[in-house]
Amino acid sequence: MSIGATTPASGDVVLRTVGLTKRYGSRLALDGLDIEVTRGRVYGFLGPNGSGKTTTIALALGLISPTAGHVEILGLDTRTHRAQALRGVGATLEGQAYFPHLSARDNLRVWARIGADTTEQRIDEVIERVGLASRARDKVRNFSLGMKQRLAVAAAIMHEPEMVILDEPTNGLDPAGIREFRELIRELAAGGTTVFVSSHILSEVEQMCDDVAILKSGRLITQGPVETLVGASARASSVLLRTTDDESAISVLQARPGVVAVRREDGRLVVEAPQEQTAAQAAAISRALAERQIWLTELRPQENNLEDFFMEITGEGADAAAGADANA
Amino acid sequence: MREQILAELMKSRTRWLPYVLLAVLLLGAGVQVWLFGYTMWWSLRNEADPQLRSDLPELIRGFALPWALPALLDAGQFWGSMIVGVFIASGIATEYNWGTARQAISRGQSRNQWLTMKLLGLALFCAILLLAALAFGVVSMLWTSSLAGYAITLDPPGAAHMTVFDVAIVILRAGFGVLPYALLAFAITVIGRSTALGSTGIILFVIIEGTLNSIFGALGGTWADIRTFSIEHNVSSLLAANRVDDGQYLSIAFRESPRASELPDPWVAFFVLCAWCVALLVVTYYVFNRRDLRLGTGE
Ligand SMILES: Nc1ncnc2c1ncn2[C@@H]1O[C@H](COP(=O)(O)OP(=O)(O)OP(=O)(O)O)[C@@H](O)[C@H]1O
Ligand SMILES: [Mg+2]
Repeated sequence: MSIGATTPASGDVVLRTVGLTKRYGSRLALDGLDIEVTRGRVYGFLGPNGSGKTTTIALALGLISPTAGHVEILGLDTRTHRAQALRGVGATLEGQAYFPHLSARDNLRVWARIGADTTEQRIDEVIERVGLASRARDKVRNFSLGMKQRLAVAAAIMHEPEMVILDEPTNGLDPAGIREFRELIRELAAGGTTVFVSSHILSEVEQMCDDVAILKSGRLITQGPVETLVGASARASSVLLRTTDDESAISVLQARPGVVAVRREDGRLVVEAPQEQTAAQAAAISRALAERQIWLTELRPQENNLEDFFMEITGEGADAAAGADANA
Repeated sequence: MREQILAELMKSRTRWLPYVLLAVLLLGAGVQVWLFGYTMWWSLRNEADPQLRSDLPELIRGFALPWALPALLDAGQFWGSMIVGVFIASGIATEYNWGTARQAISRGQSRNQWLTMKLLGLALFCAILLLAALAFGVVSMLWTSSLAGYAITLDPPGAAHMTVFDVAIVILRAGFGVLPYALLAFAITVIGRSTALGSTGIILFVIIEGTLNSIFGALGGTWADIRTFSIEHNVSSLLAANRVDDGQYLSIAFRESPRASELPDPWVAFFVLCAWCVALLVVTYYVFNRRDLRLGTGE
């Protein structure tokens, strides 16, 4: 399916994967992935469970080695300049990544020591920024899931990297936390930081990203600006009908202006129309049918949102089963 | 570099394991010097039987300098190797489990750098633990000697002369004897990623190696020659070179007292041990560089 997939327009590419492929034994987790992340944009990396998001991030960070293909970060080929490239990156990974016996502040101090210089003042600043100021001295062992997630974000942004890579960062955050997090992302982007954020929650990506890539079973389904994808899905708005005489109804409806298509689905008729016209269509449809003595037993406008669109192109959701079948 | 070592110390400092291990080391030094050394001498001192009391000068060697120092280092090398092995196993495996190894590498530390910093940091910490136990042992020797009314000297009449320089050499030899075991624990844990595997691995290795060497020694001939390639046989050679003389040698190590006449030349031993160290390091770095780092799985 091609839905207005465009490569982000020119500009400075900070992350590029070229034919990136990863096989775990016989399982093909990632299959020739080509994505480009443009500087200063918030890039959503969307896909159901097991689609290969974490695998892609781990490959970009050099934690696992690709079966084929490679990754370029900040213009550097990570096969030869991994350490140098990653100095400009901050990342959170799936799973924990902290010293449980140290305080939040000491955790950040350890990272400050092994990486680029970060002052004590900057450490205080990020702790404040992620809302952990009152718990900065507590052992991370005793933190709640959301607090640990906040600490991970602090570790990712503390050295003011050019690009931040976040793997499902809102996992475990409460609604207030998610909102704060969204603000943080916006702030980072406003400050010129490129943000790459993976998620399996579409609405989240829709709300905070400029660009989005959709991944399924290790393959890129589409990549492009969010508006383009929202537009593509909006075009497919429809009205669901149940009538006393479907045959006649179909011929009546197909003759109407503004109707794109009429089809049967689960004993209902689905009338597709441009989204901005669906409300008007609903009224017009009921009148037109009534004039021919065809009676409606059900009429329901259905706004195809991005969520449905995502479900539609990625299938049922979790890739676990699909992934197993895909094994060569 | 300095910063990275400091980071390593920061990680270890606040764990409880090193303090438990230090307590075990101190206990061992205390048992050897106070319990076996001094108490044995003290219980004989009031013996009426002159025959038994004639052993007193020999028993002094259980806690008095210079004899007690190489013997303490002998025990320290034996038990210290295993304790250091456990500490190293834990130091490496926890970083796999906490996901902090991944985090460090994803922050642009190279794998070689990570391993090297880990190794240097742990080595420094282990050296501090071992030296603390040694210091406690030496203080115990001085204390027991003065309780026994025995002169504190490195150069008592009738014994081989021992200078301060010799003391440094003696300590370095024993310390070097810990190194191959430490690197073995390091290798097992980097490859196996588990504290349990690393700790039991190193302890079982020490026990099995010692047992096999005794069997090979008893079989004699070519069998006995196999021992030349083992770590234990060569470490024993260094420890034998440490001895003041072949007299009373009180060590709580579970192995025969080393005798230079039955062991390889110390220089040969030194090079064999160096070969072990290099081989273990090569394997460890090779495997770690090719390894996919999995997720943090919890504590
Ligand atoms: N170490 C591994 N060994 C074998 N297979 C693995 C390994 N890690 C991941 N996989 C497989 O690779 C595929 C992609 O996994 P990945 O973790 O990248 O998915 P994901 O998109 O991050 O999913 P989620 O949303 O659940 O985090 C899955 O089929 C998974 O089972
Ligand atoms: Mg994932």
